[in-house]
Amino acid sequence: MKRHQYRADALIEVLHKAQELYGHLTEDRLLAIAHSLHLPPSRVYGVATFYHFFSLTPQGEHSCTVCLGTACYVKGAMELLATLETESGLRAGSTSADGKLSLLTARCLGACGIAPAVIVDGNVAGHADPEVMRARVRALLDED
Amino acid sequence: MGLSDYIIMRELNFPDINRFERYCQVGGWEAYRTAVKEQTPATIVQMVKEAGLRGRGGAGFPTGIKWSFLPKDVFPRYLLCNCDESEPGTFNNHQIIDRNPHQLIEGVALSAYAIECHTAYIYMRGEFAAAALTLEQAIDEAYRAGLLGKNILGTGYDLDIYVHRGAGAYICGEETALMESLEGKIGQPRLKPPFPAVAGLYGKPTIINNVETLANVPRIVEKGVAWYRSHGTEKSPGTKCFSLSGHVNRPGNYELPFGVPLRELIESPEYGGGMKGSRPIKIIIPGGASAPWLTAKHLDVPLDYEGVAAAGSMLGSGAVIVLNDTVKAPHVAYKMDEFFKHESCGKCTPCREGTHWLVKVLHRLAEEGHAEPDDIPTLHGIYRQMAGNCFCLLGESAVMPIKSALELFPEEFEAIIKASNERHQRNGAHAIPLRVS
Amino acid sequence: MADVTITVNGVTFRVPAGTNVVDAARIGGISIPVFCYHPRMKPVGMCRMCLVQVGTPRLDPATRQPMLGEDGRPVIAMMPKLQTGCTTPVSEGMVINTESDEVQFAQKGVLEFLLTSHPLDCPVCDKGGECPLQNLTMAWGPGNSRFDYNDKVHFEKPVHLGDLILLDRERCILCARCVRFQDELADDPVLGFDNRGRNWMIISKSDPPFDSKFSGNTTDICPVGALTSADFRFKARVWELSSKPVVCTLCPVGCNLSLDMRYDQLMRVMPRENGAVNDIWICDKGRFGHRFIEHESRLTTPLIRKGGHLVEASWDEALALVAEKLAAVQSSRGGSAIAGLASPRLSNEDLYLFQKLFREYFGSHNLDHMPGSAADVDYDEHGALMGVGKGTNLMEMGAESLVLVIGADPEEEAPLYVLRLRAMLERGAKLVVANMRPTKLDRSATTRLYYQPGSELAFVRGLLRAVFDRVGHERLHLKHSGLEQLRKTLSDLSVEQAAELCGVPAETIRAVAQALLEAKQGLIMYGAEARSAGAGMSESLGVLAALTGKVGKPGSGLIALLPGGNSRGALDMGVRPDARPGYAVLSQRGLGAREVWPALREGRVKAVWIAGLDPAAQLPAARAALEAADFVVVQELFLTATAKLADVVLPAASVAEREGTYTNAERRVQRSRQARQAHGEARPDWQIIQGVAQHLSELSVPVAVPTQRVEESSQPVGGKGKSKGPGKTTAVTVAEPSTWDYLTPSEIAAEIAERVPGYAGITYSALAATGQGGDWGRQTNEAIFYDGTNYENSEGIGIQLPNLIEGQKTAVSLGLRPLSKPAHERSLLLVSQSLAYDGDLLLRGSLLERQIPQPYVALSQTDADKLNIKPGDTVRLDSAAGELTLSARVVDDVPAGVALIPANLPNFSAAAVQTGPRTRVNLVKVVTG
Repeated sequence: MKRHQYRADALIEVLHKAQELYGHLTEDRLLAIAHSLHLPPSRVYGVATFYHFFSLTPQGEHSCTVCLGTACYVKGAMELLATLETESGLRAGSTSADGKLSLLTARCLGACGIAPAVIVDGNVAGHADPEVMRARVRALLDED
Repeated sequence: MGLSDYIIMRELNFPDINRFERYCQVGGWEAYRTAVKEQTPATIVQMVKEAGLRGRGGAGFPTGIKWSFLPKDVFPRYLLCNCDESEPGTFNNHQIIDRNPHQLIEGVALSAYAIECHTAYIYMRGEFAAAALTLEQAIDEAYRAGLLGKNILGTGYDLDIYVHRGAGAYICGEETALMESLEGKIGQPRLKPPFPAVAGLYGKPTIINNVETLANVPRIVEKGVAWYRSHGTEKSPGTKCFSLSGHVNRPGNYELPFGVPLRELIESPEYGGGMKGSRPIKIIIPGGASAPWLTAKHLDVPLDYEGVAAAGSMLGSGAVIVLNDTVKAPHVAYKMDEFFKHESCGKCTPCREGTHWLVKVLHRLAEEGHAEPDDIPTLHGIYRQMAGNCFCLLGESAVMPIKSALELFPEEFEAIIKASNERHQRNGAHAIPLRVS
Repeated sequence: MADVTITVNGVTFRVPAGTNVVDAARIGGISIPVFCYHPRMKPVGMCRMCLVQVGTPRLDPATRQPMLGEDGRPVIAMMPKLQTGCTTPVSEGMVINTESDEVQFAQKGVLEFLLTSHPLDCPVCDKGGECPLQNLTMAWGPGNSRFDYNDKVHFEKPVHLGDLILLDRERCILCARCVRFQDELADDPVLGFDNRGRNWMIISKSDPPFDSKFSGNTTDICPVGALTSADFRFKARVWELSSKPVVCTLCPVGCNLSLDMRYDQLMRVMPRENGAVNDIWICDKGRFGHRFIEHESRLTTPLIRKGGHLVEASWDEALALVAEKLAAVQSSRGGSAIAGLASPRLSNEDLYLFQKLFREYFGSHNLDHMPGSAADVDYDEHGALMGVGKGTNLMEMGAESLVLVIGADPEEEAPLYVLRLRAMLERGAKLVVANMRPTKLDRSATTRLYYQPGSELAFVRGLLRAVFDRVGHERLHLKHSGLEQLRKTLSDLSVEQAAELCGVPAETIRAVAQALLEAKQGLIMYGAEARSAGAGMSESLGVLAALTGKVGKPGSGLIALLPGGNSRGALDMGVRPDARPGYAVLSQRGLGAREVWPALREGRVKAVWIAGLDPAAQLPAARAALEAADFVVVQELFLTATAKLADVVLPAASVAEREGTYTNAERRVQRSRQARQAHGEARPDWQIIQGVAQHLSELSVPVAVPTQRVEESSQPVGGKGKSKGPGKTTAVTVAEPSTWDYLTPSEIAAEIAERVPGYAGITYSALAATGQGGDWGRQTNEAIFYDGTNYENSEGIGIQLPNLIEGQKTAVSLGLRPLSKPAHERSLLLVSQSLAYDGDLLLRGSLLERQIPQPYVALSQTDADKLNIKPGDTVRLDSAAGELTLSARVVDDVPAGVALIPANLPNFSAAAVQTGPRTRVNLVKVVTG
């Protein structure tokens, strides 16, 4: 926050940093940010929930984000997601009980050229094949 | 007939142009050096005007004219580069940053100089973390080369460029929402007027241009108006990076001069390479999810602003999504409107409630196969109540998929309703109705 | 601004340029439905309900003149899309259509959309009956919905946004009126939006949540039943209520209230529109702080002490006893052995009669309206002499006005001023806030400055010197005395020296002085902390107003924030030992409250009559004195600590059970009506006083005041020079025999109008006048609130007192007392902070009670470090008077050198250490164990 000189307009950057550092944002952290940027807590909270990149719940050690954009949808993203849901036993948007994996969805990642796209731990996998992805998800879940 | 000298996708000419040295070697930053040392800002504005550069973000508004809306003698002013690329089907900005970042930065710098501003922001879509890093590195290199910062090249001109990350909100592609977001607020659109050119970021005059638009500027200044205008059509000069996706053999970004027929983009082996499995084309969405749909009969439509508009759609962001006959129109409309519902900011009633309602009905109809006899008039009613009445274009965009689907493929809706009715009657008297209408 | 001609639905009329289409259409009697638009807030165009067709004359590009069609009329270019009326300003020749099929389709559409998410639970909704969504649906909405009822979204509800306000998410139509009110008007940005799209919801994440003194207003402006108050929720249907016009007596603003009654029960308190006082707003103290009216602990019958116990008695018995006892004291010891203290929340009629009884029957001037604490401040005269007067309406002030707020925290002392001042700012006024510590108003100030604790007088002297250096006395258009003395006093202290003393840079002092001089209208508002600097403060501010030419004209003068709802009335009515009504100084003063307590203990005063004050709760000295007194009468709402010591306790009617007039901080006299029947046998204060008087006359106690005494006292307060002539005109003549058979308070008001300077013409009928003309002039924006909550004011807007110095009748003394050197024998200045939610008995039974803090002393971080004190430590304060133990807080906003304690908390008194309005204390940490 010091880097941004406690400027109120740096809020989104600060939230990014906080999420990078802690993995997710908690209500306490949001209040602390509000306090140091001299912003109303409701405003900070509102921004953190308006933007879907920010998460107020802990995320898994690994993340697997299935793109559900139009191009991916027509290339079978729903089937892909269903496969991964079955494999992981997770509903899209949730994290496994052991905190290993978060299964997420996104609305068009801008990777339509390689649809269907999946992002695993920040790396984009294009032309994702359900069986290949099923194996990757299994591997992440089984990792020690 | 691919371009021999690409305007934007120059990595096809110089594969390692993403390296700063290489970019400089092939003439990069020269236009900017010359401009700040020898040319007045007005000269640059004039060149961009004469080149007929049009905004690539969607509206196709002439960039030079936009710049001249800035009130005289009101400072500071800001330049914002919109890289919130979130329109479904659009992925060219990402590629430009990935493969030819220096040209974008030179474009930002040159445009900033042209509009006499000293602070420019590049608003990056939050998901593009790696791209933001690429850009920041490229900006650092420009600073180190003395091309940015204070007293640039000894001319006394100062310019700082910042990369600002969004955080996952489609609406921030709307220029006033983008400014709100840049100010650290909820990304909801502002009332217009005042227009950004008069009162934008922090209430100061602000110009917002798309990544691809700004990436054109160095090439116009470097190679001149006549060269630039030798590409494309009279009204849509230059080239466009089309993002081709869907059921084509070779999805990807292709830079083509404006005016090339849609057929060529889809079928040329250089570009789309035809439909996968040679299945027939059912739907072509020529300008991102907000564009009205076209069909196979529009394959000869020239890909320029006027041509696509004449066919009843819009060129938009140049994201061409081609779908084959395996898809069902109600389903496509459902998925696309679900996107808009998810991204609706909630500020205005028609968009917030309209997208919600549309998705409710479409989900039931398309996903569950459970339709009501009145669903077609209801759907028509909902989008008509939205059309023209929303606060910003997001709501207006959400109208397009359902409107297109209903207009082009009414029989698919009717079929679902018919099947649903029959099922109803079969279960009829014995079943407890699921829903009360 | 110039008018423009517009045509709405074919009707052509003129409206002020810049008006938005919604308001403009209203002027022509045409309704455009709205939800998010509220005339007190900036338009946002969110709800899309006000979509209309708009066209403007097509201009010839060459001549810039409207092009004319074949019929010779301007060609109108209609805009391709419908426009939101609230965000579209009218322009010359604009054509608006609010009834076309297209518009109706859009309006119906928006309403249908809104209703898809609405639970339609009108039968159980508190808003039902005054709900814009209901009303607009009836008028503009579709007959039925195509939305499947099963598709309705349900949310957990209600969501507590705080102690007072609850949110029903399902009903919310996301118009953001509440959020905008808190952000723009109240400057308490405690509400926000969570999430987005259909999941957008109002939240409050502050701690405590919805922390605002104005939260209740959001329930009024909410166009649906989404925000409801914990105070009124599920209590009544609005059509069962009858609104009774009452004036709020909880602070000096004097907000106009409607007590919404069901039969005889108070259901809720609502604002009553009065542009000159509270517009359409009230603070939460006014809204939620009237539950005392029906509190179970209200006194219902007179009580008489028998055998050490207070037992119920009849009125006759009680009044006879009071009369008999007081008459006995008077005949044996003289009137000077009787003292009377009356609360500044009583009405003018009560206060007038109270002093009249004392002065006429007992010949006693031992009168006061303060509790007699060491911390009591001097009587504020300049707030009347130099106070704002007739024609001053904050709502009409804006550009070219300046308000200097000094030593005041309006949010706590008179909350509604925060909204009033912020609205002035919005209209272009300047606001200078000078305090020893930050207050919330600082955020709004155009200039804010902090003087060293205790140096406010030096700061004001600096301002005076700067003004005098610039314009001398050329703007002094008043009859005055002491100019030479002023010149000399000011020459003693340069601006630089003042700057040195108060810590405000000399250039800032000069800039503020200059701004005050430049402003066409100027108000100086001062509060408890300024007044605690002594009478020199209001005197200096008065001279400042006079030298800058900011007196004796509309929109200028002093506004003193005095405690209680009617301190100004108490001063005007002469409930003080040294002046009669109208600030007519007595040559021989009686005893003030502070002197009454020792006098009681020493036996110089034998009997005391206390109306509506509770000194025993706060002051050990008062307690001891009351125990020592021969005879104590208390007239009260509750059996207070003081009442428990009384020989006779008389139950008084609350503001809701009687009529009366009250004079607010802007010297506006307002009439309050009776809203409910008497509580038990309680009687209005004036009746009680009259009852005693009648019993006294039955005892044949003669009227005691010799008339010649009045004549010798003909000099107005503040006029210390030779001002015999003008002084006489302000004196009161009480020569004629008094009757004491008032049937209604209006008869007392008539007597006040006749006898108290400035109150001439202020009769009940004049006060109740409504309609056009005169002072009334229906507030701007008729019908603006679009069928929601009713703010109708059926009782007039009050009458402002004329400037006392108008017409140069009264001479103003310009002489200033010398600046006293602050004593620094102890390290910290003890400052009592006035709080809105304090130990005021009237907050009894309200939801606000839980917001009253526990006692504490707040220190700066600097002092805490120096004294090795951590938050929560127990500390001991000691002064020349004594010691006190408290829990410590360390607060950013407290300046070094100050120990801040909340004033007037229940069950807590700082009297043990207080040596005066200002006390120097030392502070040490108490180490236990």
